Amino acid sequence: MSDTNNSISVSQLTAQIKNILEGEFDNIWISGEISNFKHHYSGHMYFTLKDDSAEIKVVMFKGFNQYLRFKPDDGMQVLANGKLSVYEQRGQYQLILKQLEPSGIGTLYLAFEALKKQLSGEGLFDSDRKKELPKYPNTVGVITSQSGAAVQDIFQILARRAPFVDLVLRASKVQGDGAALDIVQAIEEFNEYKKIDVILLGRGGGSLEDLWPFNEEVVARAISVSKIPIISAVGHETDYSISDMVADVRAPTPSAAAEIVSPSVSDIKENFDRLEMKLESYIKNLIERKWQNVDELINRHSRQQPQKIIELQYSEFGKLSNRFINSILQNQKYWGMKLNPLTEKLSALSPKAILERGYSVAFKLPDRHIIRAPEDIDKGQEFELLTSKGSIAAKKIKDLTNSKNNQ
Amino acid sequence: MTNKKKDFAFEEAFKNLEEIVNQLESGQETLEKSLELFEEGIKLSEICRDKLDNANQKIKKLIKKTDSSFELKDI
Repeated sequence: MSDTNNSISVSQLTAQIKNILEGEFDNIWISGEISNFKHHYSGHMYFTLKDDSAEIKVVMFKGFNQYLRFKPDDGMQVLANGKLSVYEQRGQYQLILKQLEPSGIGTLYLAFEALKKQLSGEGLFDSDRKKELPKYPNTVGVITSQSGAAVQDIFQILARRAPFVDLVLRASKVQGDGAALDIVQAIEEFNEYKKIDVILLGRGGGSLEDLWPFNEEVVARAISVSKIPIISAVGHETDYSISDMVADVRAPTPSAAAEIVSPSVSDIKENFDRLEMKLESYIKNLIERKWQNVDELINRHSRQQPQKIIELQYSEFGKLSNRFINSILQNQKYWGMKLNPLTEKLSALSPKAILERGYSVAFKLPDRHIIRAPEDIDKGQEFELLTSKGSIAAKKIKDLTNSKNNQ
Repeated sequence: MTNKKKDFAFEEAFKNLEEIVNQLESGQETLEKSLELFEEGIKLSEICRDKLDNANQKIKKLIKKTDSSFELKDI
């Protein structure tokens, strides 16, 4: 009879088995054929995976099987990923699945995982490798199938949102044999062509096999060495491709990529509105402040030296306010309405208004510099005398006074 | 691609406009310079709005020819 001290309980043994098995098989890929498939009303799937000489019980819970792209059924060859679980109360073990794929595609999944691991190890997905997208691209390069839905979506959205952006399509195969190489060539051609600010690479939804070119290493490498930033938009929102991970930006769909690639007309106009308002309020304040200054000057000096005032106004402020009014008139579409009261105010200060009060201005010819002192013009030289109603040709006869004895 | 729009970038226009506003707001400029800046600002803004309103989107197809040169074709 054996010593009870050397024995262990069923629970202890089972716990050890559980430890060993679950520790050893916590993430495994297994291929086999489905049998006894049951989709329980709870949403969980129960079946057996078997080959010629063995079988294993399998469960795939609702939380995982709801993402399946196919309907599992008896007789189907599959590739499954999951962990082994020991059910202690019954002394049974089973596989709890996270992923399940029909066999052909299953190998693609393995390839996907392997490439993802490799490229990630090389740092190709690192955020410091990502190029910044231009804020306001002039020309967007599009790489997709010319006959697909994606190209229509992209063009339509950009025609509506950002008609100021030009589009250049480099038509490419996006599925099947040769697609990956065509995409690589397209990326290279845009880089050679250079006159592209950002590349939009993608296609609409499809099966994993359809989307496969975007999971090929050659495509990933071409994206990673592109000098032009690339937005990748492959399939639907739930599809993640290697291309998405290497690209500078991932968009969930081609339509979303078209929204990301450029600000809309209204976005840009809002920015201009903001800056124009700043400009407007600043210059309004400035003009009013200067106008007050001139007012003060006029009040201080008007009795003694009226001719100085007109010169001052003409040269310093009148001229500028005239230019200001002109610039507003030239841009009436945006400014005329807004600044009307201000322009009236400025008009009152314009040289014309001053001339109407009976003053004249003398211009040297031909450069029309204002004559500010007798010595500005030589004896016998002709000059122009501007009145409010028109100009007179005049000639200097002699100085009555000059700057020196006028001081 | 021969395209006048290429001489003009919104990004640059914005940067210039922002600089102009900053310069004005610094209050360091003379009246003459301020008005110059202002004029430049509204001119910039007008050009940009004009570009936005009258944008004529070009959609072309890139073709690489056998001699390795590129051609843009209508779609």
